[in-house]
Amino acid sequence: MSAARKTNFNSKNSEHISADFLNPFIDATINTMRIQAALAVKCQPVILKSDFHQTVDILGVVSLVSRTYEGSISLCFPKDTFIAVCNKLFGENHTEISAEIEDAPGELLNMIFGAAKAHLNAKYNYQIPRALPAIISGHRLKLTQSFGPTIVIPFTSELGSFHLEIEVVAKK
Amino acid sequence: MFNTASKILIVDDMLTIRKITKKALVDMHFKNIEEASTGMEAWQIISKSPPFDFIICDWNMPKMTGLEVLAKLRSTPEIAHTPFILLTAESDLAQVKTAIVAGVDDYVLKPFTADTLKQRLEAVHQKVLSRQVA
Repeated sequence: MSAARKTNFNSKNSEHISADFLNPFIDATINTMRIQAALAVKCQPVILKSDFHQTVDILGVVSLVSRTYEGSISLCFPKDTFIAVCNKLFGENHTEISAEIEDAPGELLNMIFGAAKAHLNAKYNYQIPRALPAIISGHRLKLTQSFGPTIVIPFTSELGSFHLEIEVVAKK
Repeated sequence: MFNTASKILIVDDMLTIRKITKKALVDMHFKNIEEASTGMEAWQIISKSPPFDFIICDWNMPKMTGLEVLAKLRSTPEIAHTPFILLTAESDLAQVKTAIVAGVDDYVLKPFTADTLKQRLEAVHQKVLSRQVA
């Protein structure tokens, strides 16, 4: 069972984000890491970003627009987890984030977004369009989104932890 | 079984996918592999080289998409029948139909394993052989 199915959002600001909306992203993340990186990942309880503290050194981000919501989704890694995931993904032995591996969060997010989008569009008619991910890399990035409150979906694995950040607000 | 001397072009704007795909092909013992990072670069390579045995191309690329590369390919008589496999994260039914109507020989959905890619290459190879017999 996905963490969102077990999580009861109490925050007034996030009550419009339902488990039906989050679960496809959770399932797609687990599936993408299992198939593409042969990595088993476990979803932890979903929390608000204001209660979450994990270092981010590289991330992929894509806009998330539907007929009812607008916002963004980010796939965020600390350096050590990211390098370990890339070494497994490519069968290589990197020790630093370099041009050889830095577009990986964008492509992994593209896969997650594609699968979740297909599910949400087919089942709930969200009408989410295609979008191209961007990549941001740096030391201990601090993300401040402009749309509103952000939901964090943490994942753990034998290679370390990483997370998704989903920030959506209802269209006015 | 396909010939591992087959000439293959991988087209994707993301280095990650080019590396994953190339690694899978090398593990299948293919040796003649070229890469392009944009649709336009792909078309330059395709139009100046002897025909490829397979083109494995991403759909969602800026400036020139995979389907635009395919349209140019299918409208160029000497290379119109080059086997073309679309690599994409787009699994919406409408998107799949669009790709099939555009003339892709097969469709590999990301994420994918090396086994999946091998199966799709073999299926396309069989399709090409059937076309030659007919």
